Amino acid sequence: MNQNKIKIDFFGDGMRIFLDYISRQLKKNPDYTPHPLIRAFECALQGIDKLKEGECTAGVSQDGTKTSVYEPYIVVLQKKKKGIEVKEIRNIKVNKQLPLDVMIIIFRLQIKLDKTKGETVNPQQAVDALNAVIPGNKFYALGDRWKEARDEFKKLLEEGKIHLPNDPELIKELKQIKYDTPWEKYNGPHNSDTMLRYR
Amino acid sequence: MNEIQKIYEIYFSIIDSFFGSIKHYLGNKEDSHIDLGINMASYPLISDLILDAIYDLDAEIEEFWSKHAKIIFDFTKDQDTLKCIYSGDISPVVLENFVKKSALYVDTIIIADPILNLSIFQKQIILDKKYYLNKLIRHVFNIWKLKDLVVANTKENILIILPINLQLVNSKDRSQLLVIANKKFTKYVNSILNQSFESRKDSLSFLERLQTSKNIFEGIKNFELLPNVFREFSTFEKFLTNFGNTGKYSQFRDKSAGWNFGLYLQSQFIRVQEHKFFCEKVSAEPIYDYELPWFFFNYEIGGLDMDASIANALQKEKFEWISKIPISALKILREENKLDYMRNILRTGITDLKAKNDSNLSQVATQLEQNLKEAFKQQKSEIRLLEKEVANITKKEIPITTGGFLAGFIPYFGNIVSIVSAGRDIKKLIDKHKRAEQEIKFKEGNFINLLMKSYESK
Repeated sequence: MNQNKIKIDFFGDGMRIFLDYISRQLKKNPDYTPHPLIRAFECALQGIDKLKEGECTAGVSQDGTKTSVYEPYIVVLQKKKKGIEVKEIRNIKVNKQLPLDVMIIIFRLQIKLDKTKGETVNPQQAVDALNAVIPGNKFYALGDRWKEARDEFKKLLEEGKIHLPNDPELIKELKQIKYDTPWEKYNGPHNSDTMLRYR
Repeated sequence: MNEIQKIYEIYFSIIDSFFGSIKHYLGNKEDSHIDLGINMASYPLISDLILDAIYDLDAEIEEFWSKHAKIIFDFTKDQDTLKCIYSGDISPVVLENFVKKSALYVDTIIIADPILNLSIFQKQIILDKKYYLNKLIRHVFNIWKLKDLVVANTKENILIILPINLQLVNSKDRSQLLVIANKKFTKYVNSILNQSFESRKDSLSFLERLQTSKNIFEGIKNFELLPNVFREFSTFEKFLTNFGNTGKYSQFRDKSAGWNFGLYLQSQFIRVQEHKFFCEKVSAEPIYDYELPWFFFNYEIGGLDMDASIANALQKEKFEWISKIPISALKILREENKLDYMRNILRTGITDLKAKNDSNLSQVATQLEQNLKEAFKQQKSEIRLLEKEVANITKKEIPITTGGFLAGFIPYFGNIVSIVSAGRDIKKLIDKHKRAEQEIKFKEGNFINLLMKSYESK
């Protein structure tokens, strides 16, 4: 490959590519719902006209329901003399700023999931999508083998080979898990922990 | 806007909707589309996102052609003009330059839709996604640069994009074309190696056993049947190495140098049949921009007629200077209705017989260069005459009456010459002067002159 002659604007290009993708999806299906990050971005943009130079506006959106919050994002934009500056994109639930590479991974994941027909995706499809966008084949769909993973996890825990974060709440919750606790009753972070640690 | 223009507006809106987000990186240089493809494909984060985001490009372009292909094919076929179908690569290296050279002689240049060919047919065999993206961006923007020309409201469409691919031919015709191609391929392999294989499979099996370029080269018995680039070992080896490298990106396994050579030859014989089929479908001539595919087409049909020879000879390197004329000059050529005039200039001294016997088009190209030089000479002489006319008017041809008027007295001629008539003389003089100057200006701005300037600055 030749040496790059073009300096890429990763954020701007990533956004534009994904926004073009969304507008194509909306053209095909007016009920298409973009990722909450994009909806938050759109909300923030709506208020930008009324601002003076240097002032900020924010938009918030999420994928949950009236009673539950899922994937909530806030986007903060600042009006500049020539255009708009994105000050922050934050996932409010984990209260972390979204790095650029993660933003692009989220966009790609959204596209991969959109390609899957139907309203829902099964665990294997979700894992395939994750492995496609995050290099290294780090994700596995255990299917019925999750109990083996749980036992392995318990064994490693007892041997002191798993270093848990110093979080009393987490330790308390983990201790409450009984041998016959159904998978669905596990908290989100615990079952993913089990999945990731099992190989 | 007519129906064809509207269809192409939709075509370009598809390009915009899929690639509009990166078009601001397209520079002004003629090969900027090539750089854009390479650069975009080499940024992992962005190229991965683009690849994911354009996953449905194939479905979109397929739907577009399913609605519009027939209309454009029928329209093209009905055009009683000189048309040429390009069949070198996916699109010419720099489409703009290719069109500038071709449109000096042909009314309409037809190219196969690169988006359709890449996103549907090539994507299936290309293993490296980044290589695919590089090619896609390169060829999409090669065509996008000429949007104005494709949707231009000219008498004849200068550039037409059509869905052309062997896979689009109905299965009966396609099988027949493949049978013919394979027979011709086997016959050719037999001719160059002095062998008597009965099938494509036998030929390929034999070639597969030849591990190196040297093994193949030593086995060739009739070099006169090869294209020039294969006649010298150094260029032959270089070609095969490059071809093998390209093959690494596709599903065709790089088994041996002989296998690659066989695969390349076979692909050329298939391409020739495909090209012939589509040329006949829309009553067009073949046109190429580089020697190898041209050689195999010429080998197949035993020489081209005058029109196809001239159109192809104009692609030779010696006419690279034509690329310097602005693309808008092509519109001037059409607006001036001078294409026939241009054709007559180029045809001087070339006949069907001469063209058919000139297998590498060198004589046709030399004659074309002479013809153009002659036209430039004439153009210069016409401008010089006009300039002389203007000078004469201003210096010598001032009539006595006008001179008198200007000098401040009214000369007698018989009786009194009125001021009105003297004024009329001046008006006539100024009009004549203006006309001559305008004619110079027109001649300087006309197509031949633009071409001449480009030639002189080469």
